[in-house]
Amino acid sequence: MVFVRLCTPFVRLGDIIPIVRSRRELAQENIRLHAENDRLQQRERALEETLAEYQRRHALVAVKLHQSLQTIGARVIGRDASNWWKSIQLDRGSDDGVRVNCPVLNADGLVGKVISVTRGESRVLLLLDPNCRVSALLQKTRETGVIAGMEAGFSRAPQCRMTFVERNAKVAADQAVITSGLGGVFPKGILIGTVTDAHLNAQTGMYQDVDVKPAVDFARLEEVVVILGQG
Amino acid sequence: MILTVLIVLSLLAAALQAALPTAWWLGGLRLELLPALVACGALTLPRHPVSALALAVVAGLAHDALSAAPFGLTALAYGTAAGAIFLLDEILDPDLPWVQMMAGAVVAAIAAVAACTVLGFSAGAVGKLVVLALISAVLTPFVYLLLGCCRHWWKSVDA
Repeated sequence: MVFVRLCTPFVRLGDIIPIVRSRRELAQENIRLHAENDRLQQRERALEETLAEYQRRHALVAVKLHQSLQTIGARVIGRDASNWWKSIQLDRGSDDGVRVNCPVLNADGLVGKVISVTRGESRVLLLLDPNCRVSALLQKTRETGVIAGMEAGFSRAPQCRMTFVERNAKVAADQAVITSGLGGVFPKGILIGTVTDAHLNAQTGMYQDVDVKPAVDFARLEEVVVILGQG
Repeated sequence: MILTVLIVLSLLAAALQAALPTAWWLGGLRLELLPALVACGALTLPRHPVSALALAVVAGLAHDALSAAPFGLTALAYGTAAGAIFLLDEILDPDLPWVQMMAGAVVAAIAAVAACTVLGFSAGAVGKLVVLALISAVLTPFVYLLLGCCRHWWKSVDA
């Protein structure tokens, strides 16, 4: 109380002398800016979280785009017993409307297609399997080709190869590869992966082979969406 | 009796194989238990070739049922391998560890070659074939020992 009384003249003096006043204002402004900075940082964190959620959901647009398609969610309940074939088992079967050749996706992109169905379960051949062939399209240049899994060497990330790409086509790295819709099995526009490398076919030299990194992390598949058909 | 135990074990091993994750310390491969079991069956049932063959076929069919492999392909491969081991029974002593290792490696290798005939051969595939044969060679003596212990235990209980 005594201290306040003692300081009051100096405070009033500060109102009169600009330099003292500006220093006091600076201190107040500093406090205000600190508070605003904290508030903005909190807001940024909230926005980052919203953005991350948006990005996760944005990948689902591949499914949502096809409003007319009838889909069903399924859980992965088993993997392939072999080291040679790439497949997973789902907890949905013919009782749920799943049929052979139904396309399977997740939020990241194309997973594969159903190859066998029982009443309550189904087996999906993954995109990584050399026997799973998908008609594909380079998103920017619109070049078509056929994608199939590649035998990955030890400690190499799984890859796919797009074959029958026109010899003179310009193929840029990191370009997105999507399903072309040709063949009638997979709907058009589902993300498959991104281009990592391209080279002429070693055997014939007539076409380009394009290496594609799949968009889906096949080691961490938990839930997928099965496309049952037109709604 | 031993055939029943082996068939039940092969079904369990197939289910376990499908449930196991791939192991980074195996170069991203999945541990395969069935080739070792089939090899042990072929070595422990030399006087019953039909039983050894039946075990190989059941194990192969169980494997194919839990895989995207053409149904019957692995059964054919395991059956061929069991038949080959049976034919060499006269000159092989099944109690020798290296014989067991060779038998396990042969079963895994024949199954891998069968898979490669469908999927195609490549440098990566051949490397995988060799690693799988090696893993099976290491596993087989342990499985053989385990089955021997089970057999002795069963005899002592029966007596």
